[in-house]
Formats: sequence, structure tokens, C-alpha cells
Amino acid sequence: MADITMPKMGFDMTEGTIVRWLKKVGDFVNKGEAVAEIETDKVTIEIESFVSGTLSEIVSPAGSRTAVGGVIARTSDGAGATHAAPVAAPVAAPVAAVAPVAAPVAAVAAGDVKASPIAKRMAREHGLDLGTIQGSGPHGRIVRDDVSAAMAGRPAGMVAPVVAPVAPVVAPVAPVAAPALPSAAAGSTVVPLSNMRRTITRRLTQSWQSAPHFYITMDVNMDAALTLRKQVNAPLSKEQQISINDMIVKACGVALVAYPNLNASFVEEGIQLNPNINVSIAVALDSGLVAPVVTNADSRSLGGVSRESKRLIGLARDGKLGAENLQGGTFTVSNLGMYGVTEFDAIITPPQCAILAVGAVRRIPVFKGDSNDVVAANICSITISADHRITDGAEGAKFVGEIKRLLENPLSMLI
Amino acid sequence: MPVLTVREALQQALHEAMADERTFIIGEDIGHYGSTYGVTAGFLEKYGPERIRDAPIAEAGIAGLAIGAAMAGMRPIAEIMSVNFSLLAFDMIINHAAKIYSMFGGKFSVPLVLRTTNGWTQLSATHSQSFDSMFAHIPGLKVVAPATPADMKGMFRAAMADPDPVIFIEHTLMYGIKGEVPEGDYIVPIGQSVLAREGRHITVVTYSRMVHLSLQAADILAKEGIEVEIVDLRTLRPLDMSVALESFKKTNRAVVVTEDWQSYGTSAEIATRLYEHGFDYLDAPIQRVNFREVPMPYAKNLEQQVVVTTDRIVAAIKKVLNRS
Repeated sequence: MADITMPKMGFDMTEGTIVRWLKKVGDFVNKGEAVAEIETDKVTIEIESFVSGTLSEIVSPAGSRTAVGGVIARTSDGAGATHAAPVAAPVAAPVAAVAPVAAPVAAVAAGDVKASPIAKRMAREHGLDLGTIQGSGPHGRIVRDDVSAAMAGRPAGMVAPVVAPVAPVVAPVAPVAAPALPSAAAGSTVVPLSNMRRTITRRLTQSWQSAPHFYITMDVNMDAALTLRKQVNAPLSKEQQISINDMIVKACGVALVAYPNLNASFVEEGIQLNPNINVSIAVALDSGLVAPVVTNADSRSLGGVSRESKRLIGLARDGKLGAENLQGGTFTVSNLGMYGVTEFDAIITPPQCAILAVGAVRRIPVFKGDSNDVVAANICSITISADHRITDGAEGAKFVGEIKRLLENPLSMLI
Repeated sequence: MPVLTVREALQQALHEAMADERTFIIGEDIGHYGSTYGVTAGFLEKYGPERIRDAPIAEAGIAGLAIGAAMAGMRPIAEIMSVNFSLLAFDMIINHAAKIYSMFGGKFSVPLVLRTTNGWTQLSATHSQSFDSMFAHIPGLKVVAPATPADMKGMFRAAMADPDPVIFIEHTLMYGIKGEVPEGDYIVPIGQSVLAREGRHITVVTYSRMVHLSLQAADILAKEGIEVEIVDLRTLRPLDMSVALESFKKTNRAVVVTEDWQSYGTSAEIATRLYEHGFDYLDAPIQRVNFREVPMPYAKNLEQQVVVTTDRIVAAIKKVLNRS
């Protein structure tokens, strides 16, 4: 007999939701066979059993959330016996509360808690009470991943989330130490967060709280870029057309080569300069937002960037992005031009250093050179949000200036 | 880069060593017979009987003669055909080779390289042992046990250049293992461990032939999504734990694989160092995979129950990861 646990499908996956079970209790499961469909932060994926045996118990029913490593089901080898070891209980999705529901505190004295040395150290450093964390190791031992889960404000018997829940509209009045749960106002409806919504909440809150943002906006004359685009698109089919966004992604890739700080990550030890230039492209979906990654955007040709970008957007729309499509981004481009937005400020996607917010290309009157003649020009405003821990205003301005130069002289990024 | 077997890499290293005219080789059956594992085949014809010395079955004599020659300024290579026979030379190795430098106040050193082999395959109880921990226990000795053809060549070079007695441990089941070996001057310093494979879930600390079995186990586990990091210690004394500890601090879980008995064996020392210097990073008890603690049986089916197999390494890794 053996446990089936929630697998870790990506570096930042902390929990998963069971979408549906593909097997029912009593079914025989072969090693490698899909047993359930789970929704992780950003993808829906089938999980396979690591063992062969009869599915003897479903611990996490469809719709419930379970921490990575937590037991979701058990198999038996036919003898019918199942594990008696304590396991991480699945946490029911909150129904009527914005903040995580407080789980009952395990009634154990700190001295009785079994935890690995690293789990103890992490708990001490982050001020967590081990007595409130459910262990997933042998004999209920609290291990590293259980504390990591608790630190991320996730299930596994956690009481106090580390990251504060999104501020309630009406501030709680009672000055209590524990996070107060604002009671739902009469007549209001609270929609439980989807995993995607929760991920956006967690990561962007983290970014907003830890990365001091600064912003630089510049106007780019897109006349030359539009002319080039018209020329290269002329012989291409509708599906092959190069978009303005493709040109911007390519320009960012090229500009990042010269400005490695903008392609860096702030880590505990210092500034980590990332070896590859992988540009995430923000894609809006009905359910939220994903940012698949165009890897090596600097070395791909403009056509290559365009093809990869189209492929990723297609996967995103079909809900088929894999973890590998979402990992490793070092810079993001977010384009709201199609909504007629003039310019806007974006929030940096951690652990990246910067994000470029792109507005619509507008046809507006400008002075021609130094003369007083007014002519029409296609202008696009681009705004960088950058992490002030890594870079400063002057460098940020030079970087945006380089993107502007490339887009105004687009042939220079094709060589 | 040329691909050589361990045997060929050692032959290259020995020929390089023979370029120094102070070097001679002494051992049983190394001349006319070309050595039991074929490493010195052709050496007698090339270098003559003065420098390729067939010795009688007298291990204490082989070691003692080589120690004296080393003290007198030669650069001898002594071959003890099987480590099991080294027991007869232990007084020479431990009470003389390892002690002379300190007991003579640094006036004499013993720049001796003593080649010997671990190994088994139906050789029964007295011919299938490993005494790695006995050598590595002794201050005054250096003990190396490389795993790859490149390290065989590079570390033999380092052993020959070392002023202290170096026990150079080979393995009878590794002579045919192939790998890329850099040409020309190639030295791998004694006392530097190395990553044999990168992974993020668990650290396997090992050396010699067990590196290859651990790599096979890692391939099997990779199919289940378990990424195993493997540290090849290469040298047992002085023991460099820096790479293993760095890895352990990342994975928080470790398995130590050594081809000797567990009690008081090399894995005991390695695991202890992980506990001593990595305690705050420990997430699960360290497991060890070793010979079962019996004199080695002759019967093949029983022998298979005693030796380390990839299955046993896989099982130990899963146990530490709490996976079934």
C-alpha cells in the first residue's frame, strides 16, 4: 500500500486543487496511470500514480485544495489495509471568507512536536509555531516542505498566514492579534478565489510589498516600425503576420543584452544576473492572466519571436500551457494597446527586475524636426516599471531609450 | 577528447610516470605476466627488468622495499595485486610509510604510490573485501579512489607528484569502464571532490565504482521525477566535504553509498560529517547503502544479496524522500 501525494509541478507551486478524480475507490491503478486531474497555479494537468495498487481511499475530494506533498489518496495492494500515519488534511476551499479559514490548533506542546532540524530552523527564523503545522513526514514529522507550505500561507494546519490577506474593504474594528475575518456585509456575495486568482494575489502582493517600483515613460515614433511591418507582412498569410507586440518583444530582447541589470533578479545574496533573456508576454484570459515565456528573445529572429509568441498565446487560450511554458521568464512585456490605453504602469512579476507596459499606437500631430510644420505621426507610449533595489532611474531611462532607438530604427534589430 | 577505458588511462599515467628515471614498479606478476588486470602489459619489454620488478609473494617485502627506496630518493610504484593481500603489508604501510615523516622530524618523506584493487565476483570471503576505512583512518597516508578514466589518469599524476605515501585504490570491476580522458599533462589534485550529476531533490555522496551505480540509480529515478545530485568524493583522505555539504544544504536529504561494511566504514565518517556540519539543514535521517555485514559468500545468488545494487540505492533514496 502507498500514498498518492500532490506532486510539485513547478518551482513555485505550493498547492493544487483536485479538479476531478479519474479513478474511484476500488479501481485498480497501474503505475504511471492517470488518477486525477489537478489545477495548479496556472495549469490543469493529469497526475499519475507512482505505484500500482487498488485505490482504497480518496483523501482529497474533487474541489479541495492540498499542499504539495500532501496525501490525496491511498492505494492498497489488495489486502485492504491502509496507512494509519497522520497525513496533511486537505483544506476545504473557503466558501464565505476572503481570508484563509483558521484551522484548529493541534493540541500539542512544543516539546512534543516532531520536526526535522531544518524545519525547526525555518520555523524559528520566520516566527512560526510548529505546533500549528501538520507534518507530512514519517510518523507525522514536520519536514521542510511543510514549513515552506506554512510560510506561503497555505493549508497543512496553518493558523496565521504570513502574507496578509488582501485588505478588506471595511477595516476590522477589533484590535486583535490574529487576522480578523471581516464578516460578509449583508447581501454581498463572496466568490472564492480560483487558483489563478490566488497566484496573482500572492505574487503581485509580494512584488508590491518587497520591490520598490519606479516608472519611466517615453514616446516612441512607430512610423518606421509600421512601414517595416507592412513590408515584411505583405507576402505573409494572415496567420503569419508579424504584430507590433512581436517587434516590441524583439526590441526588448536586444536591448536587454546591453542592460543586464534589467534582466536580473534580486536574491538574498545580491543581484543575480540571469544568463538567458526570456521575455514573458502577458496574455489576458477570461479567467485572469498568464505570462508564457518566449525564451532567448534576443537570439531569435523577429519571425522566430512572432511564431513562438503565436504558439504560446494559442496554448494559453486553449488552457494548455505547461509548467515549462511559464517558468524562467526574466522580463515581461504587457500590452494593453488593443484596448485603446494611452499609457499605464504595470506591477513587476517577481523575481524579475522590470516590466514594460505598452500603450496603443496613436496617430497624432507632431512638429516635424525643428520646424514649425505639423505632421501626422504614429506614437506609442511605453512605460517601464523597474525594481529600485537592482537598478536606478538613469539606467532605466537609458534602457527605455535603447528600446525607443531600436523601434525607431527597426532594421538595426534585424541584424 | 579520446575515449579510454580505466585500464588504458592508467597505462597512460604509468607510462608518464616512467618518464621519470627515479620511478620503478614492483609487484607480483607485473612483469612477465603483464599484471593480473593487464595494466602493466608490455612494460617489462619497454623498460626492462631493472625498472619493472616481478616480486615474490611477499607483500611486506614489496611495501618495505618501496618505502626504503622512496626514502632514498626514488619514486617507486608498488602494486599490491588485491587489497586483501595488503593485510600482510599493514605494518609497513601503517607503522612505517605513514609515520616516517613525523618521526624523523621531517628529514625524510616517503613519496610512494601504492596501487591496489578492491573488487569481487565470486572470489569468496577472503578475496572480496574493502579496507578503505582502514587506510583512510591513518594520519600520514593519503588515500584516493577515483571513479572515471580521466580521474584515474589525473589523480595518478597528482599521486606521483605528492611527497607523502598515497594509497591508490582501483576496482577490479572498473577497468573496462570508458570515458573521455584529456591528452597530455592532466592533473586532478588530491583532496577535491566533484559533482558527478546535478539534481535538486536528494544528495548521494559516494566514490569509486559506486559513483557509476549511483548514476544508474539516478537515471531510474529521473523517470519518476526525482532529481538526484551525486557527489564523487574521489579522495578519502584528506576528505573534502565542501561539495557534498553545499549540495546537502540545497537538498536537505542524503544517501551515502560505499562498497564496504557499514559498521565503522567510510560511510560512517561521511554521514557523520554531514550531520556535524549540516545539522541545521537536515530534513530526514541519512541512509547508507553498503555491503551486508557478513563475510562475502561464494555462491553467486548469495553474493548478489550482499553487494550494493542499483535497486538498493533506489530504495534508500525513496526511503529518505518518504516515497514508496
